This record gives sequence, C-alpha cells and structure tokens, in this order.
Amino acid sequence: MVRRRVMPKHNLQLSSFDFAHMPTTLQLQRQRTLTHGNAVYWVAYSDDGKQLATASLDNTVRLWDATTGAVVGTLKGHGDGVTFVTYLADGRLVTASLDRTLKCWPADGSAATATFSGHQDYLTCAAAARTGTLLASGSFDKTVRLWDAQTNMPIAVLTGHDGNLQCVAISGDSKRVASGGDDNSIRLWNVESKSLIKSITGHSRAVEGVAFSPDDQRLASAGADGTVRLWDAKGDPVTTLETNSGRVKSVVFSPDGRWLATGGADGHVRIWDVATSRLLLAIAAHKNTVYGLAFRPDGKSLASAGFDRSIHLWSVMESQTM
Amino acid sequence: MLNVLGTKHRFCDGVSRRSLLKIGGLAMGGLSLPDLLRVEAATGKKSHKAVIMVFLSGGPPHQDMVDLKMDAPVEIRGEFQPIATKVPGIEICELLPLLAQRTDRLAIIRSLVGSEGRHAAFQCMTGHSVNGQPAGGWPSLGAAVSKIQGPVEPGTLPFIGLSPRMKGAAWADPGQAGFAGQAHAPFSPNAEQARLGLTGISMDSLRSRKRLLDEIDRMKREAEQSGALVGLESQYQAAFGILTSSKLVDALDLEQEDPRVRDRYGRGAVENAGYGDAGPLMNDYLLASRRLVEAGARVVTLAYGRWDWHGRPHGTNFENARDHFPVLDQGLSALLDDLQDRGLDKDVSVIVWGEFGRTPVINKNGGRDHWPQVACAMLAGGGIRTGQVIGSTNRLGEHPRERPVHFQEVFATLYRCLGIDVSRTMVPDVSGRPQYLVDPIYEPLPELV
Repeated sequence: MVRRRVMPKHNLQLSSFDFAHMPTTLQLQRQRTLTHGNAVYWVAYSDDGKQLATASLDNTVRLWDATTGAVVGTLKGHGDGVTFVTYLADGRLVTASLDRTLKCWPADGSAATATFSGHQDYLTCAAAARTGTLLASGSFDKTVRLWDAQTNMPIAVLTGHDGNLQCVAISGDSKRVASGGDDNSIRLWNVESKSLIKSITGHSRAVEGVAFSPDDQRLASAGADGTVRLWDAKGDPVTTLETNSGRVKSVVFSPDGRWLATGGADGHVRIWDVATSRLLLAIAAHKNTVYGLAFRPDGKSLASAGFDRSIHLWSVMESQTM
Repeated sequence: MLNVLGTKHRFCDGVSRRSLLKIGGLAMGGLSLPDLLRVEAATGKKSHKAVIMVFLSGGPPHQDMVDLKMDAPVEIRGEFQPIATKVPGIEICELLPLLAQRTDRLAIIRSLVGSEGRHAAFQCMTGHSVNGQPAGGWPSLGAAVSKIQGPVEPGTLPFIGLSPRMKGAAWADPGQAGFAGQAHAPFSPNAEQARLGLTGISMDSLRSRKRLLDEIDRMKREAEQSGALVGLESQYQAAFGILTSSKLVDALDLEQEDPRVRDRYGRGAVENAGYGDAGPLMNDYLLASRRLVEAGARVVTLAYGRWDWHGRPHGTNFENARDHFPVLDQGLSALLDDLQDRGLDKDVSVIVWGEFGRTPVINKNGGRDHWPQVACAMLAGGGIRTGQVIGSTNRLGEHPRERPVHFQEVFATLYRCLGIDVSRTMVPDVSGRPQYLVDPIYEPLPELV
C-alpha cells in the first residue's frame, strides 16, 4: 500500500512503504537561500555542520554560517570557475577549478597554502577522502589524478577514459575511486595499485555524477540519459531509477545511507529510498540545473546548488504515517 | 581621450590623478564643436532622437531566441519551445514571455548577415568590418552622431558607453571614436569597473564640487609646473562643467529612481557575467540608458551579459539561456514600457544584437559555437514599423531563406531614425577624404522606415 498526501504547491510528496516499518513521508522545507554572482557548481558542509562552502563559476568559494546564512569568508585565487569544494578531515578546505588546479586552504579561509597542478585541460570534478588526505580529480584531459593533501604531492595519473571526465568519488575506506564521463562509462580504480578494477557500462549518455554509499556497499551514478543507477561493491548493476528529468547532474547519499538525493536539468531535487528504490520526494527546487547536493552530517538538512546562481538550504522532515 | 603620463597620484576620495585626466579628456567631446552646436541651435529643434544599443557580447543563439526550429532534428532543435506572441503568427522562445506580450512594439530580424565572425563589439558599434578601415578608423555610431549632431544642448554628452572594463577587451569596446576624432569618444563612466559612477568618483564626492575643484586646482598647478597642460585650461573647465552638471550626475544616480521602477527592470548583478570577461547582466544599466537619454545622450551603448555559450564545463547553451533569457526578458520589456510611458518611444530607438549567431548543431558539450552565416536582432522604438519579423532562415537555421539583412542596413536605419541621411552625409577621415558612414549600396530597411 502506498499512501499519498495532498501535494502542496511546487512540492510533490510521495510515500514509501517499508514492510518492516510504517510508511515514511519526506518533506523538504526551504529555510534559506544564498546566492553567488554566477552558477553554483558544488556545495559542502563542514564536519560539524555549522559551516557551508559553495563553489561557483564566479571563480570564488564562499563560506557561510549554515545557521544564519552570513558570509564568513571568501576564497579567491582561482583563475576560472570553481567546480568543487569540501572540508578535509583536519578542517582545511580543498577546491578544484576549471583553471586546471586544486588548492588547499586553511580552515580560516585565508590564502591558499598549496596548489596542485598537472591537468592539461579543464578540471571539472574532484573528491576528498572522508578520512585521510587522499584527493582525486578528473579533467577534460580524460585523466583521473590522485593527490596527497598532506605532502601536496601527486600520487598517480589514471588513464583509460575515452572522453571528458565529469565526476569522481572516493570510497569511505579510501581504497577505491570511481570516475565517470562523456564516454558513458564508470571506471572503478584501485588506489593502492593505481590500476583499473572495472569499467562499468549501462548509461547511454555521459555519466554526470557518482557517489559511494556511507558503507561503501553501493555506488550511485547519475546520467545525462536521465537515469540514476545503483551498483554493488563489485560494480554489478542493482537497479535503475528513471527520473524523466533530462540530464541528472548531481547525486549524493544521506549520511545514514537510507536515501539518495539527485538533482537534474529540470531543476528538481528528488529523494529516493535506497532500499526500495521508491521516489520519496520530488520538488521544483531551482530555476536551472541542480549541480550540487550535500546533506548536513546529521542528515536533517540538505543543501542544493544550481546553475541559477542560488543555494537553497532545506530542512529534511521525515514522518511516519498510518 | 587625453592620456597624461606621470607619477600616479591619488586624490583624497580615492580617484587617481590619471583617471581624472582621462575623465576630462573623454568629457570634452561634446564641447569642442561649437560650430555644430550653432547648427543645432539654428534649427531650433527640441525633439531629441536617440539610440540605445544593447550589445549581447558573445553572440546570442538565434535559433533558441527568436527563430526556433521545431522541425529540425534533435541535434539541432534545442530544448526550448516556441510561444505565441501578441502578434499573430510570430513565435519566440518560451523563456521570453514578457517580450512575447510586446512583439507589437518589436521588429525582429531573423536573417542578419555580413558578420565578420570575430568576437568583438566593433561591427555592432560601427557597422563595418575591422579590416580595410579608412584613415583613422571607422567611427562608431555614437562617435559619428556626436560629430555630426553634437550635444543636444550645452552641458550634455552626446555619446555614453556604459560597458565596464572586462577581460574580453573587444567586448568592452563601447564604440570607438575613429576618424570622428577622440573628442567624440564615448564618455564611459564604467570604464574602470562595473559600477555606475564617474570612474571611481562617488556621487557624494562629485557633488562636493568645491572639494573636487580644489583637487583640480591642485592638479592644474602641478601640471602647469610641468608644462603638460598649457592651453588646456578652458577645455578642462568645460569638461568638468559637464561632469559636475546635475543632469549627468542625476541620470547616473539610480538611487534617485523610484525603487518600483528599478524593480520592474529587475536591477541585476554588477559582476561581469560569465567568467569576468563579458558585460554584467545588469538591468539597472538599461534603466540608466533611458535616464541618460533624457539627460541629453544621443547614443548609449552597453555590453550585456555573456552569450558565448560553447557548453560545458561553463554550462550548456541551454543552461546559460535559462540564466540570461529571463533577465533580458524582464529588463528589455521594462525599457520598452518605460519609453512608451514617458512618451519617448517615437524618438528613442532600441537595438539588441550580438556579433553573430550560433551553430545549428549542438556540440558534444551541449553548446553552440560561432555561426557568422546568420544572426538575429531586435529593434524597437524610434518611429520604426514594429510588430513584424523581417527575413527568415532555412529549416535548420543555417542561412537566410529570404530577405537577408546586412549589418550596414541596420546602421542606415538607425542613422535615419536619428535624423541622419547616410546617402547624403559624409565625414572626412583623418586624411581629409570624405567617407560615407554606411557603404552607399546599403539603405535604411524599407520595411522599418
């Protein structure tokens, strides 16, 4: 049995039924909107959830107080749009830019302390290990590069993709890297051996986003073919989610791994129940493509970033209904 | 522009001495033609024809904007749907709903040809290719009009360029003086950065004329000691007379505008669009253009947004269109309404265009590349016949199917709207050779005038 509620304006709610529990209803309530001078490509929460970092085509990263929405810092130094930002486990920030570099910044947002160079074309995507200092980056030069944010040294150049890189992710144990791009494939790489584990196919168009589940047992991929696909730890297909949204650009697991949030060219944010593959919620969130999504570490808030120059902060409200 | 080199000196209000000299040089344009002033005074005319030129820096996608190709294959067609407009039979992009309600006040050219295919404002500002220019270079529309017609009245500036400094210098060009002479170069209040003002001088400091003049006196004393400005005293007094006139200051000070009017325009972002290399998507400047025309400007130009949409990783053509189209839709619609409401629509021509169109085939990065074969333009006001589409392209939007319109025909039309007959008007180039402003084979568009 699937329960449905009356849909509020611009807010489509669906319910899932978990046979072990009561049906879950999800709702997103917009708490705050932040803006950049240009499209926003990435958003990340600090580990304590108190700060938010956003990367923009305006060449800057802004640091925000996640509660008040006040700007608490601006990272300037990249020479082109910034495609990625995240907080390292030690509190530092790492950014990636279309100017082909990554940079490390002190926690206080002062001047960059390290710059990683090597990519030969636009650096479109990056990831940082949840623990440790491993960084991964992907580029239009068709390579994935691994870096050590402790020594500021390159670790490896991974070749094999036959198209521009669009996305990259690092597993929670830092042993695997997943990358996707315009060759429609996902590549799973072994970090220690610096070699390809598997080339995963299934998407019929570019792979725009990849994310490991918190327990590393699932890999999610978002495609320009409008599908979101779930793969097991070996890279075998688990399920395919049809979004009807056109290009799906962003994908992220909730901290507890129960939900998968996706964002697409239709400006909608969708949240899926990972266990049942059910669509729990779809909301018209942005006026343009949703490029970045991030759950606050406690899972009670979601940030969405879009090409419409805005970042929305949403309260995630879960309820169980009879 | 007068360039005076020397030790950089910063005034107390932060403006550099070098900047101040540049302001003075630019502003002299309208006052150095007393003969033309006399001509205008002799005509006794009070009507004031003007042109506002909105340069879509980078080249807008004609097939996504005003010439949608729904019968084209998917790799060409694009993501947008056409919508009906106020004029039966004319359809434009669904992202331009406000303009769609005002197509009775627009003339849409779907078959603009003759682009030199270069990323630059030059052709949109002059009508000509950069190659083969006469001695001194082609004057832009504003410079030519300044030369021919002079200021509307003493103390006003005929030619104002609102384009800010940007990385893409060729896009920042507000219109060169060419052989009209540097006295007719545009006054460019945003030349240093995208901020309406007088090159770093705040409105407050400008109004504090005594302090400014004190600084000028000090600058003059320094200059006199060096002998650099011998004989220029009267010109500087005149130039600063314009700069400190309340008309210009008031026109540039949008804080004086009704906030509701600014909201109708949509205000916009002061940051340069794209990656800092193109004009800001700043609807306040559209409003400022109207205010400047009312303050006596004959030609106002501005670079607006970044329309060079080659695709990822800087966003697909369609993501950028979703970003830019609604802002232009609001700002341009507000401008058309404002001109009409203030009774200026018969006198003030508005033209919106870029340097070329975009490729029919969407590239692998979701972008459209340069396509000089055909482009589009929108015109309004100035007494032209609106509510019509001129020309058409083939099924794929590759080339004109009927009625190709050359850039110079548009210029002939704009000059006509300004009261200048290009078939009878010649301006000597710097070698003294008389030059037509538009090649004699081109005439004003008969569909419009």
